[in-house]
Amino acid sequence: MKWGMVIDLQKCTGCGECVAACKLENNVAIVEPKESEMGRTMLWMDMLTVYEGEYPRLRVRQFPRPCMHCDHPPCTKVCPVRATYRNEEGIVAQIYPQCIGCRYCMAACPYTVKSFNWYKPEWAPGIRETANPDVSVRLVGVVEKCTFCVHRLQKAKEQAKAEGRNLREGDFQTACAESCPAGAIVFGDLENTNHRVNPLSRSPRATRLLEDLGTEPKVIYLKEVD
Amino acid sequence: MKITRRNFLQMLGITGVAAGGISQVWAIPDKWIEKLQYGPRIETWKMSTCGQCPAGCGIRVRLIDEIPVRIFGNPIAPVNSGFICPMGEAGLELLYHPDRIRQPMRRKGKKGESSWVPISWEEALGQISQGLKGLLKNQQADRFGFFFGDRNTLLTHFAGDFVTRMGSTNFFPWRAPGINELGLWQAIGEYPPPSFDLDKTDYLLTFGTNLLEGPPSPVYFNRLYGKLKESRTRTGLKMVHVDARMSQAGKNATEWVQIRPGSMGVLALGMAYVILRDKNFDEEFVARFSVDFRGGKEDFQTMVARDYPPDKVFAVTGVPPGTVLRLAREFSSAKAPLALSGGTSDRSETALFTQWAVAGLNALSGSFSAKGLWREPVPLPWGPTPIPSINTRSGAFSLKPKLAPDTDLPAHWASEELPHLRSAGKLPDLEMLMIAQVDPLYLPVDQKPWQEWLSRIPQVVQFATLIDDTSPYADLVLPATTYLEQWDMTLPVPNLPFSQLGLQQPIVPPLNGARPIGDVLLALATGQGVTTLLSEKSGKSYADYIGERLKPVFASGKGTPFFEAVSLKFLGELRERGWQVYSYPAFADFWRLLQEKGGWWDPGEYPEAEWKKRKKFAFPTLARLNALLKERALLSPGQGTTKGEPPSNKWMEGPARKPEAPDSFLLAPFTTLMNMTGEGASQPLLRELSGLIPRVYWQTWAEMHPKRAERLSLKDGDLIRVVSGKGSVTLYLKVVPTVSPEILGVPFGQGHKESGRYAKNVGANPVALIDPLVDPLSGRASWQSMQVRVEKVNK
Repeated sequence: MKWGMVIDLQKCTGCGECVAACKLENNVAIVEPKESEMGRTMLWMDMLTVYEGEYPRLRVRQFPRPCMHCDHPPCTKVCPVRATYRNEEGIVAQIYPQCIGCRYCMAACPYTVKSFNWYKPEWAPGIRETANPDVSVRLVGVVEKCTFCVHRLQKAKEQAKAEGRNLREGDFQTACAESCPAGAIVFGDLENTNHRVNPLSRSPRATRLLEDLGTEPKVIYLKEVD
Repeated sequence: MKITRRNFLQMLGITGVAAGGISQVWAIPDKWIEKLQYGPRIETWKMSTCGQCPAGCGIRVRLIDEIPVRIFGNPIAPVNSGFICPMGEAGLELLYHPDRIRQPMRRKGKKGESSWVPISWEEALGQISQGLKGLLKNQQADRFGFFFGDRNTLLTHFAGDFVTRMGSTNFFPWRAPGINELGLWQAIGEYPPPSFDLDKTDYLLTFGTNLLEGPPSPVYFNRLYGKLKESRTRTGLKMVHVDARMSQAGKNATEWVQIRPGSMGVLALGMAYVILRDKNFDEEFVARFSVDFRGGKEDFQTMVARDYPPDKVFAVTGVPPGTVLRLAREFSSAKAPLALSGGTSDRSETALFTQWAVAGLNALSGSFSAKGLWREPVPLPWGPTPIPSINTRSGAFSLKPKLAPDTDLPAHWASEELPHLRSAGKLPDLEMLMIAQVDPLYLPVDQKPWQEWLSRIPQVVQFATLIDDTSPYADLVLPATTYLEQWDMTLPVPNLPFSQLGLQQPIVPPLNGARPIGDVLLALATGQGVTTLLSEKSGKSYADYIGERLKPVFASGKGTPFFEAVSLKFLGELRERGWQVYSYPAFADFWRLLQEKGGWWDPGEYPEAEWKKRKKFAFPTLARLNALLKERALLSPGQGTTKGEPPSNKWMEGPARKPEAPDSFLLAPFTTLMNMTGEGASQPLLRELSGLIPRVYWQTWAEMHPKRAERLSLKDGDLIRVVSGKGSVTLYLKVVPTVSPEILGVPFGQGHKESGRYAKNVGANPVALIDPLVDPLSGRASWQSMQVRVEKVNK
């Protein structure tokens, strides 16, 4: 089993819904304006923009960027306390209580997907109640990033176990894949030929970010062709 | 709760056990701790409809032990099919907002001062009731008015009904017009305009229309764009976006055409010139279903041939003649071409002219003859509802079953101009004005007349969830519920090719002493003995009113509550046999199903538009335009266009301006998906994410073309001061190639003086820099073509 994600850029409209869904699903802190100005805004899922050419041939490429969950993750190799590791299902996981906040992993990640908790998470009264009770908030001094919504996987596994069956496709969806209006994000088991991600990941349009680094990301982009 | 490493670990242990071994679980709010330790932790789901914008997306709210924790899309709601937008996601931040008004408040100081004395609901209602009684007693019912933010729900009709029953006609709804609304009203005299089916077009040309970041339904159109973008690689569908700024609609199109703000109508007629010269137009439609095309001195053909050759069009619009030629030929050769106008094009001084010209382009190119492209909206089984209108001769507002094409316009086009209509003597001096679901001191271009007007009205009553920019000018502020605490019904979304009713139901009981607007109006009408709004048998609450309105829908047997996807063919076969997806023998069953499923819809699309049955399509001609200018002089008081000889061709030269100096720009405010009309600013998630693409979080930025920035020695991230005759704002500079070199793009929606802690004094409002200019044909305030100067500010 190898969880992975395919993002079809030919379908993506860049609406940013995946970013909003991710922030709320995972209780990612909203960083106040002053901190934000120092570049401390936290986004597990980001939306990147690339400008190609000049008007009238200007093309703007927008692509959602979650953690790549690399098969050879540079971040796990530098963690001195094994607070980040690649689990047997391919998810690059974080153990928050174990993290000492050295931020080596942040420096090592070529995709800059990791965020550091500079302050303890604080919500204004009331706004706190919008938090998702299924996901822990992180402590001050801890690095965090996209988990492929692993809490949903655990729930789905328990559900499947209770029903005495194997996990099916669709039992476990990340918040971004579930919420994408354009249907651009597909999530599933890359090794299972019955999952949609399997044939999609082998599409002639398939590409990975910074492939030459040999990190073998499990987030695969399908290129825009027009 | 203070979060320390120690109690984090303790909590992890506690909740891990309580939640059955889900190790990542850790609850946050204090009062949940107890529930998580001892509570049953029961997960429930409730269906409702989103109220953040008028799009009517179905939502599914997740509750843990009756506490709403997350909003998802309702998978069986036809508009959004389970998806929602960031604004929909953030709804709980509005529900739980720390600054929500907790009880009615009376203003303490002078108008314009935000200081308050809390009072009881009884006192507040008593005061309003007394005021209303006094007006009715003195036969001054016309001194009562209601300025109402129309969210496309039944509440708008209810509020309109309330005003009518009070004996007044002063119901002023506020909302943005639909796509093509202005142009098709003028061309065929129809309101609402025919819908369109984007799926059926092979050439989509959007004149300023940004379907992806604003009304009518961003989720529906993002979904559809995703599909069209993928299929266009096979079908050859071309999507061209014409605008001064490359909005998301431009980024997702196959081509973006830069144009000077306010000149889109000229481009449309320039394309018409080429199509006519090539003789490649829909002759059958033109001959059978149109008037003023040819014949007569001032017909459409003559005007276009004389005034709109590509080189002249280039001089006005900045679009090269070659591009005009190519676009026109591609468009007229397409099988099902579709041109849409709205968004920035209805926010200019040429709004109606532009949309009319675009409608003319559709008529010429064969769009109206294309199969299945245009759809006929079917009225709901409860029959037609009164339309708020403004009479362009007398300036009087009223609710009418049908608008008269010669004299009436939909009231929401001109409702920003109320203070001007008052100073022109066309509105009576109001004694009492109610304001709900809209912030008229934030939205309009010209805020000063609004301040003065509201200051003169003795009794301004505002329904609000948060103190906003209007509140200091209200005498009484009543805490209103959010859409998550009230009953309501969203109506079919304009422009979409099918019909639906989305049920809004309370996910939680009203928080903090807030009351639903519908119930307050009902209490005022019935309890205070002013008049009656509901028939006696229909009950006592606004929910009963909704039930009452739905009875004809149930009785008609049409449509069905939302259901899981089945093919329309299968559904047709079911129907032929007299079966249906759900069985609901009594109204109570129907009502229960609506609550369970989230709404009602009529599966299948609207029937194809028929041109035989409707009024002939009137092409825009100079004579008609100039006649309209005279006819509607009332809508643009102060902008004298009617004295002396009519202008030869105002549409060519006047409104499309160019920057006058090396450091001057045309200000082009735009809206984003995170903050359509400024309401998103009160919610922290949307505050932060509104700057997602330019990476300027929590601030307002200005977009400038790299060439202009280089010439002014400015770079990305610099602070600039943008100065107009009305004032100045300081903004972050983003240097991007997605704006035309002549404009300065600034997002709308920030710079509130109030609206809660997350919005107050954060960012800037570009609209406040704009001179009050109005489209004289529609009464729409212009956002375009304002000259501003840019100065560098040292950090």
